[in-house]
Amino acid sequence: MNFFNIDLKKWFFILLALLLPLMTINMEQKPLGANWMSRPFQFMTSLVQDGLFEFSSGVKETTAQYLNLLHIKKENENFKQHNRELMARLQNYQDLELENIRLRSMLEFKQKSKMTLIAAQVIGRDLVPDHHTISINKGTQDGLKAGQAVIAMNGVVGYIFRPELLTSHIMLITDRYAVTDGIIQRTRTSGLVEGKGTQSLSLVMKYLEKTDDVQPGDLIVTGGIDNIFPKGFPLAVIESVERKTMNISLRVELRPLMDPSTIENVFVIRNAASEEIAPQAKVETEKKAETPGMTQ
Amino acid sequence: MTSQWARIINFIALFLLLILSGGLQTTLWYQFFGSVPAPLLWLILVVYVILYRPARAALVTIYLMGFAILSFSALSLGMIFSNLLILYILVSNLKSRFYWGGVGYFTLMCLIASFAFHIFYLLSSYVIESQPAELLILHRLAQIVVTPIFSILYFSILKKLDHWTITEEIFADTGASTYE
Repeated sequence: MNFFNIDLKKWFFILLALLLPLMTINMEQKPLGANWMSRPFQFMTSLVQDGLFEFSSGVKETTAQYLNLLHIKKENENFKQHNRELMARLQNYQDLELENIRLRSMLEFKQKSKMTLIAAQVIGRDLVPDHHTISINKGTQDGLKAGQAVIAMNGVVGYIFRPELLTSHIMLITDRYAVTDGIIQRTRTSGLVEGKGTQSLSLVMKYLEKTDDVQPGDLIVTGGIDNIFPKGFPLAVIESVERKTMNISLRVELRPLMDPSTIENVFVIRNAASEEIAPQAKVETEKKAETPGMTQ
Repeated sequence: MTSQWARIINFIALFLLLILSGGLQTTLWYQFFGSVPAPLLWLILVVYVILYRPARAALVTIYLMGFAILSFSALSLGMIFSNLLILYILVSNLKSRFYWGGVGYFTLMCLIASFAFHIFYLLSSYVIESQPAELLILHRLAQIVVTPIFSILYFSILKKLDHWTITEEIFADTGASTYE
């Protein structure tokens, strides 16, 4: 029946190979959660990432212990070495002290907050450099769900976009796929805060009218309309305002309060979709952010 | 062991290695080296599959690998699939033009693939996505340099894996002459 002597099998395969990427490009992307096809892989990913994190922690601890032992031996052999060791220890104590202050303030922040917070540690980054996502060591078994807000002491970090059993993937507000609703604290003007995915000045606020009172240095807080973030949590600071005569809206560049590259510990908010942060708590949060050694 | 079973075991082992590589790249590397650019370990596996598997099996395998890659990133499925298809066309075309066995050839192909991946990734991002990817030239250049170094280690691991799962005969040298 094949009149034209065409290798139908081959052409069918080529057609299928080309159609698959085209179909997926045009497919509606789910902003949160994952499709059923990738769930088994995500489960495996979760296990591997958690296992590797535990492994690396173990290796680090063992290495640190071993190094300490070597230092103690050298201490007995050489007085100078002993002195260096003490200096190194002093440095360690200073690091520990800073860590202690940081952890204590995190604990205070957690206790003072009315929200139910889950503390988590950052364990991984995105596979590609231009996406600003992180992995944390808490997952669905700790009660985490897609769409829950993730914050640090000095500001909003992002939200969970793919929770797994033992780990969760967080989309940072600076990622180019991330959108958050924000309010200028001083004037209560609202707009949409979008990530740019760039290293510096990685946020932009859109849909502000040219007549709106917007000034560099203004604090942007969360609007709470998206039911992800509690209302009034610090988000970013306005860096520059561009008023082009041709445009009907302003172009506002923002600097996020958290630095995506230095973030180590975060809090996941479990139940604060409509809760507003008290002004006092906000001030305390800002003060803590200014304390030395308090970079998340 | 029948060839069918050998293929299945090899396929599962390859996937486990891919997920382990993704974990190494995103978690273990980050824990030890922080923000230092990590090698594209998953890309090495993709190149290996394109080079040392029959054409159709390779294409199906790399599309399936796309799902595993997706679980480590915020990338969209469309971006992954389109980039994998471009990589497949590039590497298999290069293979049909010049091919010799050994680690040197594999390393060279990994270097070309990692360079091409970043170029096509940026281009496809500008075409497909409303917010295109940032250039990050230094970061991408570092990844292009580091990836072939790790491909040397991966080549021996993958060859051993093929040997253990008795697939060396099944997936015999799919060089230029036998390319479908």
